[in-house]
Amino acid sequence: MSAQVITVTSGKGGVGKTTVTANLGMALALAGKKVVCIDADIGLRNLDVVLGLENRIVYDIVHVVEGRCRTRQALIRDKRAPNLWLMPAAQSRDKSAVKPEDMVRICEELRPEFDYILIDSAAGIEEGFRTALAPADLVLLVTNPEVAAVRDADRVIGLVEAMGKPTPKLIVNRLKLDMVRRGDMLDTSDVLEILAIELLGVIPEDEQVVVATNRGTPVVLEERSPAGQAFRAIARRLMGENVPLFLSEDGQGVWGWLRRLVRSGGGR
Amino acid sequence: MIKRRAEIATSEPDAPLLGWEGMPREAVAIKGVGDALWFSFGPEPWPEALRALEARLAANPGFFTGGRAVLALGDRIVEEADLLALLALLNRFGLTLTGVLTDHPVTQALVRRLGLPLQSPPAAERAAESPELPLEPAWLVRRTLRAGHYLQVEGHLCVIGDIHPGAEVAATGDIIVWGRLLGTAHAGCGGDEAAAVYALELRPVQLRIGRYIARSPEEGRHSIPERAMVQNGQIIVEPWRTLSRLERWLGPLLGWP
Repeated sequence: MSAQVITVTSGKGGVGKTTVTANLGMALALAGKKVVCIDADIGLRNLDVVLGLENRIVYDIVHVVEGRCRTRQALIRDKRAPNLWLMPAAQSRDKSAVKPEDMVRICEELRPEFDYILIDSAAGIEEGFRTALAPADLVLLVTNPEVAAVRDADRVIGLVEAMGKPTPKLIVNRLKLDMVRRGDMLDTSDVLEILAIELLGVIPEDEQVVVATNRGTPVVLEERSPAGQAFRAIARRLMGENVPLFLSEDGQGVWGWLRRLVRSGGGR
Repeated sequence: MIKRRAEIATSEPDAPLLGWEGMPREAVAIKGVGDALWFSFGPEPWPEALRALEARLAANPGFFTGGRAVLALGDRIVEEADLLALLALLNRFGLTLTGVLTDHPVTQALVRRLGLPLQSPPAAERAAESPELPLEPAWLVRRTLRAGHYLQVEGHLCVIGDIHPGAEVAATGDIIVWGRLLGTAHAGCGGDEAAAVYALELRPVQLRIGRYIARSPEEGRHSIPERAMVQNGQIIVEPWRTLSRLERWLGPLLGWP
């Protein structure tokens, strides 16, 4: 067994990196894969809160780097999904406490024992970004359908490629279908037209995400939540299954195209 | 700096200027072809040829500085040490080697092994026969430029790919985008107002030519190739190809210029 290292990143902050990491980790674990989520947002840890594992932290990633504990000791096992593990970030230190080579070394150590290693990257494009990306085999780029977030995402694609990593795959988070329908929000196709990278999935805006995050139970555990379904679809796509993309309500095919064309008034 | 045939003739009126086919009277004949100087080597022994060449170069040392040199070695076998000595000599007089012509397979192999630009005789002969064509230096970028990318070049710039919003390109000459230009482009950034910007889809955030600045004229999709240039003191955008009658009729309806 040799894990695939997937780094979840974004340009702009607050677009839902941590939510995506927690939910994809949970979805993959529920599908029977052995998964470890690493919080690389040193100093601003929150993946543990979203996963509801905050109260069980003893050691964190900085302890591992500084050699104050073994790598295994910093892993927290999730009770709901016994295949899911978390390596929390430190609360007290800053980004420089973990160097890119430290992250590579930790991942190399964990690789033989897991199927997937998900790294929740820090926002921005500074040192923490490079640390989170250093071991990545696959980069997931999270953006919201907003011009500012898309612009920052575009910059991140350039930086990721400049680091010699494969072109990131896109997750569009918090798509408000009713606003798209009224033409008040960028549609997925608008985002894709600007970024021109592969789309891995679209997550609709869903109030249950907020409730679930506050409770520390990832929304994939909610059977009927639209966002939860979208996360499960992305997880299956990551595992190599051919799952149709969840797009806007207009859908794909000739009718969807015609409807979009009519809505945009021809010339756009 | 480009040396022309005429310059050689006027600067050295007594020098033999024999054609490629003609037998050179000297050990090495020098001839201007296109923007390069051809050094044709006859059958003389190498040390003699080299001495003769050195004498020719040393007679007018400043003239050759910055020139491009093409070596025409004919069918002789050249040893590696001899060729390296010749390269050093060219280098000393500021000549850049841009091509080597040789008919002999052994010499061809040596030229390839040294990584020197080998020209095939037919191509070179055709170049010698063709009327002189004006060449201008240009840079080719074969990728998409994303937000945060900035590129400035001396000369013309050609991008095969898109230029995204937030990316910026600048060139002292023209800018040609074989893709969508959605970012910022500055042609003639050294002050050349005759420079132009070409794109398959010209929808920039901002366009500059020389000292003129224009924002993208209007919203809307431009699905025809367009070019922008300065006319009567402002930046004008026009179709880059002849429009069909249907397109001319439909254009205004779809918001084309």
